[in-house]
Parts: sequence; structure tokens; C-alpha cells
Amino acid sequence: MRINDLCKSYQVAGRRLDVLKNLRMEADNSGITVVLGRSGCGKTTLLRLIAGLEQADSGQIIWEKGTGGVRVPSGERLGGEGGQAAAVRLGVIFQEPRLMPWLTTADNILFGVDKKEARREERLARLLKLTGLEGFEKAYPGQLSGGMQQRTALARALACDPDYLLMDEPFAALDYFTRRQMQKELVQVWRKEKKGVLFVTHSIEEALAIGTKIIILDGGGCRKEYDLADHAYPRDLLDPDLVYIKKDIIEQIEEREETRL
Amino acid sequence: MNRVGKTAAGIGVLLAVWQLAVMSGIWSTYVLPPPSKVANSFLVMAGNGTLWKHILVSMRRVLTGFGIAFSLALVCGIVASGLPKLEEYYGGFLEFMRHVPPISLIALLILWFGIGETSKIIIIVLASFFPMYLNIRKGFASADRKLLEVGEVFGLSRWQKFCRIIVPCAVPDVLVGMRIGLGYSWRAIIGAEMIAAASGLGYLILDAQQMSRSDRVIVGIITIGMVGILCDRIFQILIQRCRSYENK
Repeated sequence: MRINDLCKSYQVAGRRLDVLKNLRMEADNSGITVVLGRSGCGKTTLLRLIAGLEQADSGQIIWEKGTGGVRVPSGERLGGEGGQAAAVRLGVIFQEPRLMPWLTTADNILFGVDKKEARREERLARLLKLTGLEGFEKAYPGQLSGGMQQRTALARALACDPDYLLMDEPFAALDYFTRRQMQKELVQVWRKEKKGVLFVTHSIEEALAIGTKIIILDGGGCRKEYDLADHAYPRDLLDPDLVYIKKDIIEQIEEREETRL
Repeated sequence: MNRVGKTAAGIGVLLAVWQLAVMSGIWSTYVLPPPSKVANSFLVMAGNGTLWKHILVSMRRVLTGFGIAFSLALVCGIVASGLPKLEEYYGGFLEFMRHVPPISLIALLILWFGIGETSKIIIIVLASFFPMYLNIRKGFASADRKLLEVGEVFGLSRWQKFCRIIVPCAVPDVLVGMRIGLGYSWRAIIGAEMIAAASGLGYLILDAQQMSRSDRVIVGIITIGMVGILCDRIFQILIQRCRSYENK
């Protein structure tokens, strides 16, 4: 996926606020691309634009799938009607699980799957196993822990067999240990499912633990990129290489803050 | 002591005070009949079937009026939340009607619709429409935006989003509105049966008043209260079933 000169601004209290300014970036269709930045840097906006929940002022989001390139001009909905748009299927996982409280885990997971589709049960069983939710298919979201709810949301996104997963700080509300566990699980799921993942976070540790590529988003544009594809999982965050990258990331973000002051 | 025991104790105290007041002899038994006389009238009327006949007649009126009011409230409420521009046309009129007591319309209703069932049912419709309309509108308007975005991400159409997200989100509020509306329907029965009724619990009370039978008046009041509580309990159980996912 490539993004060309993406711009988005909002009107806040009568003033124009540029959130994304000519953003250019590239994300691997089979890796975990982490977009890292402080709060308010436009991470979530970027994800919402890609998901088609909001429309960009200008710029392009271009998907290259398989051999033929698919162009989806900004402003056009993804995953909606039309042969072209259906070319790339997206699964979105939000910061909150956003499960339907009146549906059981099983019905929540199958929320986006057509009722007439064959092999629904088979798919459900596979996803329950993949996300470790076996035995909870009849539970309601209110009965599940935060981590289990987020796993249900992950299973729901995977149920539609998307080409690409968009994740907006999905583990931010979880405690440290659950978070670590979920990061490990995500890496496992990613290895099994071979989906491209775009993961937005403000946590440097999280980015280093799961990313094959880290993009620093700052001031509405892409500030720096790091390639971590060579680092095997599970990663030791005290590995000298990763410590070095972490220091560099902190410097990048703080330096920017100093020039601003 | 459990809830039922406490309720029974409260009623027991009330009956004792009532009996003491009668025994003090300050009021004549015509003004304040003793509990035993009321109980006796109750048993006689229940025994010869007149009480049941009145209950059934009133129940039919209440349920008809309530059903019509609910259908109207559902349509108006859904339109108000889904097409707010259209609501602007009728919202003001509804707001006006909300403040007009239905009983004040009795004279006009008799002129326009006669003294048959229509006028009586309209009174009940007017009494129960507004609590339902307001709750239904709130329910349909308050669908969680975040859940609607989930629907969007899965590419649901407007109609699919309505059926699969907005309606389930609205159900609890709709049920609460129905429960309040049913209570209001029962409260309106006296007003409705003031219009030349020949049967029904409201008629029973008004007729007993004419005959100076205060014991029968009290029987009528107690019956309305009990039937109302019964309807409400049934509804409460229904609501709990529909929202069971919250309590688990």
C-alpha cells in the first residue's frame, strides 16, 4: 500500500488545523507496519482515512495487490460497492473492542459474515481456536475481560478474510501483562494468517515488539522509517540493536518538540 | 424479611389504621366504609362475575388504545431520529399537544366522534402516546456512533445498519417507553370511561359514586391498581429478558 501526498485538516473552534500534510508513506502488504507518534500527531486520522471512515482533502491511497495494481482515489469508499473498491478487503480493529453488547461472542465474530455463506461454523471454530476463545462462544461481551473482548474484535475482523488489518491502538486500554500477551498473540496470528497489518500506537516498546517496519509520524508527515524485518520474534527489547533504535526514536520525537519550542 | 413480607406488613399497617379510624366513629360508614365491608363487596362482585366483566372491558380499551399509541409513537419516533428534517414539521404540534390534558378534549371528542368506543380509545391514545414517543425517539437517536462505524467498516447498507445496529440499540428505551405508556393508559381509564360508558372499571367507580356506594368505589380503585401492577410486572419481566445480556 502506498500513500501519496495525503492531506487532511479539520476546523477546530473556527481555526484550520492541518492534521496530515502531504503525507507520503509505504506499507508492506505482508508485514506489520507500525505507525508511531505522540498523541495528536494524526495516527488515528490516517487510519480512519485508510478505512474509509473519513475523506481526505487531497492525495491518494494506492493498493497494490498481487500482480495488478489497484488504485483507490481518496474520497472513494473502500470495501463498498463496485468491483474496483471490492479489490481490497479491510479489517479494522479500534481502540475499544466495539462489540455489539446484545450479541454473543460467536455472533459478534460472525457479524460481518454473510448469513448465507457456507462454512460459517467451520470458520467460527477456526477463529475461536486461533484467538483462544474456545468455550466462550455463548458469552456476552459484558462477561468477558478486556483482553478477551479485544480478541473477539480481532476474530471479528479476521472473519471476513480481509487482505489487510488496520489496528488503532487496540491494546492501549489493557494492563501491561495482558498487553504483552496480546502483542505475542498478534504476531502469532499474523504469522499464520499472512495478512498485512497497519498498527497505530504511541508506545515505542509496542512498536519495537511487533513491527517489521516502524514509521514515525510527526507534524503531519512521515519523519523517519526503521526496518526491523530482520529481527526475529519473540524480541528481547534489551537487545542492543533495539535499544539503539529506541533511543533514536525518542530523540527524533523530542528533537521535533524542541525545535517547536 | 423479604420484599413481599415488607409490602404485606405495610399494607397491614394501612388496613389497621383504616380500621381504627372507622372504629373511632369520627366519620360515618357512608364516608369511610370499614375494610370488611369493602372486602365483602369485592368478594360479591368477583363471585357474581361483574368485576371480571368490568376488568375485561377496560382491559380491551386500554390495550387497544395502547396498541394504537405505540404504533403511532414508533413511526413518529423512528422518523424523528432518522429524518430529523421531517420531524421539524410535526414536532412543534406534538410539543403543543403534549401539554394539553387529554380530559380537556372530552367535549370536542364527543362532538366529533360521538359517545362510542372511538372517543374513549382516543383519550387513552392521547394519554399514553407521549411517554412512548419521547422514549422511542431517544432510543433510536442514541445508537452508539462507534458501533455504527463498525457497521460502516463491514460495508453494511443504511437499511442493514438500521436493522442490525440501530434497532437493537433502541430496544431497551422502547421497552421502557412501553412500560410507562401502559401505566399511563391505565391512569387514563377513568377519564375515558367518563364518556357515557356502560361498563368498565372507570364506569364502575363513577356509577358507584352516583349510587353513594363508597365501598364499591374503593373496590374499583383497588382493582385498577392491582391490574396495573400486574401489567407492569409482566412488562418488567419482558424488559429483563430483552436486556439479559447486561446483567450476566
